[in-house]
Amino acid sequence: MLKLGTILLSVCLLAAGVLSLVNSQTKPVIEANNAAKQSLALIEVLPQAKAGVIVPVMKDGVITHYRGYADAETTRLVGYAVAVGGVGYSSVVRSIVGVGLDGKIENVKIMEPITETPGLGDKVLAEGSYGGKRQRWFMQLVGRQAPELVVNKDGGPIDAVTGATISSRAVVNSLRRGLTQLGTDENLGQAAASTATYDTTGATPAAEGTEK
Amino acid sequence: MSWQRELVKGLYAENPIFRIVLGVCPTLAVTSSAMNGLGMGAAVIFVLTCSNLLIALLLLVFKNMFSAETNKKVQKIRIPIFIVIIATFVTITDLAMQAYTPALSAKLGIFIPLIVVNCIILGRAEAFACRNGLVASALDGIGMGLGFTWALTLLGVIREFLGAGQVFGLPVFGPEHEPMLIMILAPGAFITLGLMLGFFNYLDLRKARKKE
Repeated sequence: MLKLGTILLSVCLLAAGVLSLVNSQTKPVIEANNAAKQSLALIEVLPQAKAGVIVPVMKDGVITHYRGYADAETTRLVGYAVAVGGVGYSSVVRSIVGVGLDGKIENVKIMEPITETPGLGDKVLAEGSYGGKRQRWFMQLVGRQAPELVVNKDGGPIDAVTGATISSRAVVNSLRRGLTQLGTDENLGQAAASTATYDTTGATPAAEGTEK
Repeated sequence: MSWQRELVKGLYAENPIFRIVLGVCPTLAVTSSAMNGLGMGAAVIFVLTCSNLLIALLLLVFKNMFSAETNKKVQKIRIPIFIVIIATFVTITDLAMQAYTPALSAKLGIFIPLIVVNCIILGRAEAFACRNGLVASALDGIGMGLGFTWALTLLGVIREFLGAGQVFGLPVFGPEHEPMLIMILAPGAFITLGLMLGFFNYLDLRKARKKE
């Protein structure tokens, strides 16, 4: 019996060794990939900011949001960007949103891969008939302010994806939280208004909020 | 026992889905679209071939390293050894894809961890790779993987066509078309797989009757 244990142990040790080796090799590359993806996404949602002049704003050692400037001297503020994540059906759906100085959404980018139910949750990226127009689902969020970011199932104006209310709600609620927080942090007046007008029961507040 | 036979049998005669009905959980879960089925199939071909090869190799090493008596005892712990090898291999694939092919990983990423629980991998290790040589095991992996892939793709095409009105993401009907949403949800998976299994059994019955 002892011998069998030894064989199994050595197989497991070998496997663990190989895995830690692979992990140490791939981890920096994966992190670099993700960082590159994030900065690309930031430029994408803040096109009016001169590429690269997007400055993170820190609070208590955590990045709360980003400020975009139109010049290298960072004097002409043109917009903000916030990275948020919301708990959906089976994963955290992350998105980055570009916000104008008036607190209105200008661009939304939902980060891939979306690991929600294949064929349903990933439809937040797909085209469909939303808001009376044929457009990609998240495009109906453009021009919205924090208090409007509530899905129709909760009594709000945003059409959820058919069959994927939970994934839609994850995106919409996380954006609302992110925008509300941004409004408070940057004193954006109306955008900081409370969201009490809509019933958001069924949402999962745990683990939501701005991404670190 | 020709090598050609090992390669071809998985396609129809011993098709993992329609004949041996193994690996059904991931099949039901991911076949909501043709592309998902194809993606899962591709990942399974890779992992199945490599795990078959590695297990055949390991048992060959054991055969030369230990006495016949010890090898008999090793039989008792073969399942945990197989699982460790398969899980290690899947994790390596997942990490390597995330690091070096991020675009592909974004598409297939959610299927990779699912492969660990795919019975077909353990099934082939147990039924074939631990009894056959290196080349035969690798060919068995490729053949079974291909059989798995076409079965999944076919299920995906049917469900996507009926449930989303698309084939490989391309719309088939006009924008007014209201698809049968249930077909891309879980019940649709059972209905489609059940009817397909019935269809292939019917073909078999008819063939047998003709012979008589």
